[in-house]
Amino acid sequence: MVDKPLIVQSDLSLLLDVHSSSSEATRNDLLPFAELVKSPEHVHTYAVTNISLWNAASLGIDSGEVLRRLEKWSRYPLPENVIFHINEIGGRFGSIKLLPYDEENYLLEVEQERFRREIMGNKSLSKSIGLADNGFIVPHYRRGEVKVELIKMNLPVDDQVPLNRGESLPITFREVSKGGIPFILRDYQRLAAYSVLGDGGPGSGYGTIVLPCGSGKTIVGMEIMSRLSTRTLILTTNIAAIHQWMAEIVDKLDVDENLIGEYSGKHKEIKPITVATYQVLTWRPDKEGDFPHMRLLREGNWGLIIYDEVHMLPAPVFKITAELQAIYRVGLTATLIREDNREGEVFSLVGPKRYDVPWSELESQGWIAEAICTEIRVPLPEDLEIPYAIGTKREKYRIASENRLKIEIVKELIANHSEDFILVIGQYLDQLKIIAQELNAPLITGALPTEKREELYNSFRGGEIKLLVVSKVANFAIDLPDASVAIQVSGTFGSRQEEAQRLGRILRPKQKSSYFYTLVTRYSSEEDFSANRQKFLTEQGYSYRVEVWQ
Amino acid sequence: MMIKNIELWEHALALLNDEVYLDLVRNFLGKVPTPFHKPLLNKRMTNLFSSEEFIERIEQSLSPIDRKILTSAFLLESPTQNELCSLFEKEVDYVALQQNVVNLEERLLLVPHPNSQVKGGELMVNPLLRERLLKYSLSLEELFPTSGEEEKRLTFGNGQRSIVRGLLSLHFHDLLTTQERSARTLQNRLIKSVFNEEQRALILNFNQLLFYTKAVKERGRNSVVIHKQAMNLLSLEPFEIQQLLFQSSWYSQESLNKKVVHPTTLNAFYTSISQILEECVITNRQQLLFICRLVALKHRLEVDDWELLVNLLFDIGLSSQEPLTNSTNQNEHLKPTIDSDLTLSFSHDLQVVEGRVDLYMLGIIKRYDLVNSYELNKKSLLKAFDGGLSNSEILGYLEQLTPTIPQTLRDLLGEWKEEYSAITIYDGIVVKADERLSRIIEALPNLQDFLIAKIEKGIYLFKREEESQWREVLTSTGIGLLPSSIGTKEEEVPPIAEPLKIEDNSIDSLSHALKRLPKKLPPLPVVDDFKESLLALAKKRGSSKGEREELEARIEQKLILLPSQVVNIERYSKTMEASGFDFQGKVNLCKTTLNSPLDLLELHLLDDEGNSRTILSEVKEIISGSTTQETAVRVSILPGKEEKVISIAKVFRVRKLRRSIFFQG
Repeated sequence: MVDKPLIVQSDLSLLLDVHSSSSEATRNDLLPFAELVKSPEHVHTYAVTNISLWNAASLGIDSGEVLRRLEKWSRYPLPENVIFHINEIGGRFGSIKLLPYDEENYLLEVEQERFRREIMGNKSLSKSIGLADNGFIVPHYRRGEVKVELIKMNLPVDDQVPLNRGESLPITFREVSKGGIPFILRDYQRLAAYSVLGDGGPGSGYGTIVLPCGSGKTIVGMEIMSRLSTRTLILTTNIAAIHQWMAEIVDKLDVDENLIGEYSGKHKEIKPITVATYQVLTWRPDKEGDFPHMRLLREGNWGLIIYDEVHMLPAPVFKITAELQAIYRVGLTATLIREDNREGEVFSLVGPKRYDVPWSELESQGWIAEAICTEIRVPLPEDLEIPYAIGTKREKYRIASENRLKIEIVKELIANHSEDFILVIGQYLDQLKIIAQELNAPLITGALPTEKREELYNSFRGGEIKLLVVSKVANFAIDLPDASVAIQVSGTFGSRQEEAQRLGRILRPKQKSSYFYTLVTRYSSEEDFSANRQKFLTEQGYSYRVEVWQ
Repeated sequence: MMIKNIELWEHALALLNDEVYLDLVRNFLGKVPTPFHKPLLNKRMTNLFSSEEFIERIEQSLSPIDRKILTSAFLLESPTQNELCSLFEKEVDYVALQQNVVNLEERLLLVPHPNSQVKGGELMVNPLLRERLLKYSLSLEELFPTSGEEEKRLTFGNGQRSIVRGLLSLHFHDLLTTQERSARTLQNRLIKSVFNEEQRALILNFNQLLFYTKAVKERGRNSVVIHKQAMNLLSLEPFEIQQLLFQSSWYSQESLNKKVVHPTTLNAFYTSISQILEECVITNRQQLLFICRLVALKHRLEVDDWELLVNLLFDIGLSSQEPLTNSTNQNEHLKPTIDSDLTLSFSHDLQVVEGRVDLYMLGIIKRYDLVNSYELNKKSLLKAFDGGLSNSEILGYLEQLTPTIPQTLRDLLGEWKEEYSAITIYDGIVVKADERLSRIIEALPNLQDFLIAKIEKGIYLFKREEESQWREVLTSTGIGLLPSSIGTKEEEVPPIAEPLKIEDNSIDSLSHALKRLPKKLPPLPVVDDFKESLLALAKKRGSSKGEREELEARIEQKLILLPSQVVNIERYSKTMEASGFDFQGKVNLCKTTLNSPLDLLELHLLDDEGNSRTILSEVKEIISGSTTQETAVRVSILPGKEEKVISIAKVFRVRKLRRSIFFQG
């Protein structure tokens, strides 16, 4: 008898018992139409949303198929409201189609009169579109905006306008990397790339991939590049990340180095493969002025845009992304949590979440390192008790974060991990300076020139330095493969995303476990913020031991 | 034949006055010489009603409405004629219905109940026939025919304990407050996130139940969970919780009944309703309304607004949807599991475990669904400590639920307990603090105004009247949860409104009757149509037109079922009537029934627009006019007994009908 590991809740959440022998097969069946919400160690939660149903429909998985899969794996009969909702909402897909029309416009074909009336009644939409016999005329540059607006009205658009193929550029993987290591694409990386590109039909070619730090998101991006073999723009968070992308491309792709360009504050190269930072795109000479470098996006004739760390996408780039709906695009991230809650817009404009895999799963397969997380609670020195007690909320947090006793623990931990490569990560520069001084270790902050930073990173990678003290500049996109211990001395309040990204610095697979220590002042607001920070990771199945430093 | 049944039957016959008795006996046995010997006649009657041929013909003669009335009479055991009529007055014309019951009396299928205490008399199914009728003629399907289409049956959902626990959790952890405000909070914020919107009324009724049972009480602008009561409620069986839910919801609807109804009656009513729903496939509101009327009659529950009562049943969980957790297969259950994010999930009913801990104290419900989930966090567990629980009790409880408790939770519990125990407050006046907090208390400038004295190391005397202020100052120093005062006298709480285990014979008898009643009937054996042969015989044996007509009338009324009954007897079975321009005849009929305990009048009326309607009435007064045509009658219209004066000119037909064979009005 087939084990049925799924429980379908009446709020359209799906609970998957991961200890079932069929959980893997069930998960594969769910992925096209359900989003992974959390994946702790026992019960994983997925959500069926309107958008996930429409995305599935765009890939040919209609309501009937969704229900068939749910019924196949569900332990109990499906709640009636779930059946109704999936039929009702999922069935909407296909009633509104976006089709080619003329050189400047698309045709929004609307079959049902009631939907036509609804659209005409929407003030912001009626300004962007014109009437046609069987629907509306949509200017090319309004494609994204109109789709987003219609989705807000629960009217999905079956976008049948093919994406532009872009100028051709042969890109293939090397069998052996330049560094001399045989290269094989991992299954989940191939699957992630396929989930975005599909069979190339309508509804495919754009999307967001969520993979844990250290699992090789860059490789997935490169696989998509090689499959499309087209002019590519890669947007990332900082210069170090630009250089990492470039180095990886050179190392693993059979592409002439001269075809790869850096577009940053320092260099303004536009080449068939260009790697740029979000910052340079959003730079403008004055607050009210235009963004001069945005034309890189508009005018680059790109066939593919890769949004690295897509959760960091700045607001001005949202707007322009709405205009670039005819281009293949992919978002990469480990934590699609935005502190501004604009995840929905990322899905609408860059593309829906197409692939997400529980961190614990990759850990169990050895693709990311096992991480042992410990929270160490440190008492507040007596002389700070009263300043803490009478401080404002912000002052309390600062006092707790900068607790000087943490330095003693950092020293102890470093001594305990004498063989490891260690990162000490913090939020407050004064605190980091003291720590760096006491430990006699190099300090990397935003103030340090880029070259110097890269030099230190390279020394760390090369093994000349085994200890780095870093500020939040190292939160993202910094690949330090040998780092196996991270000591977090302070952080940005309750940022779940920061916590996950910091853990991500030590997740590159290695022969031994990684250790993630968080130092928290006991009986202070830092404990609560820390609990909140840990939420994303505990939902991914990580457990924190709690120890009290005596 | 059971002797008890024969005794009952003879007892019923003994209740009839001689005239009625003789009239009935003549119908069944033919000519009876007077003076008659009653025991002998009884014996002959018993033999007749026990003969296979006669019983078969009775079975063949039953119409669908006969079966419905008899089935209801069987379930109700001892209904009055009015009660039986009230059950079907929505589906059958009242006059026809009342006369149908009279006809069943005359056919001795319904007989007087020997133990009746009710004025006007109660009826019962002929005890000689009862067993046989139960075999071939009476069934639940008669009352609730299946439509043939696939309709979903109405059932009460499950999950009562889970809903109670969820709501208790919300109250305990200060997410719900007073009765009125918590209802608003539930509707506005929590109904979608924690419960389902379709369950709105149900959840609000459950919230009300908590206050009704005093598991939750209002205290100022907040609510407090009375732990003992909460545990009492949680310890009940789901069915018992549902009974209480019906009670509390009933009492909240004033328009259901203005009189005070005892909870025992309500429990009996609910129990019977749920038993019928289990036994029968009830699929629609109309059937439900019928059941409500039937069961209310059984338990003598007066209801002013039947529609409201049916709505109430839906609002306490009656639904055609599959219950959330229907499976009884233990392997399918998601056993309580604590995940790394400290979410505790489980499907199905979580029993109360021994001890004084329950999940509602430890976690905050996040979702009530097929799988219930609770979040365990610092705030919720500090609150549990404040509820008097120790770490070992909490861990002991969780270990009973699940074998694997995350180490993180064990670590954190230790930490949080230590933090919680750093300060103790006695009676809102004495504060005992650990070393760290003592330093803060002594040095914090804005606390000194409230501090009366340091009694000894770590023990301080504070101003009682300013407790809320110094608590606020202490909390602002960063203490996670300042404990409640120890020593505040706990309120005495009366036990849950009424005893919960109901010992009520009326429930048993209905339950027993339900169990005996077949769900569906087997097909009756096919027999020749005996009516035609009886009519032919009547033609032959009737020596005059009057005699023939009399015999034919008795055959039509199913009073004659065997050839041996086709005997001319002195009886008048035809209905007397007057109509058209026979005003004198109509007035005469009215006069003969004036204040009659035996007879009723059926009046066929024309209104001003030429529409006709028929009423059944008791004549109370004849109001003479200058001509016969101008005569009017004051009548009391049945069944509501509304009085009206009607001009005889407006009556185009009058029929004199019998009120009852056995009883006088």
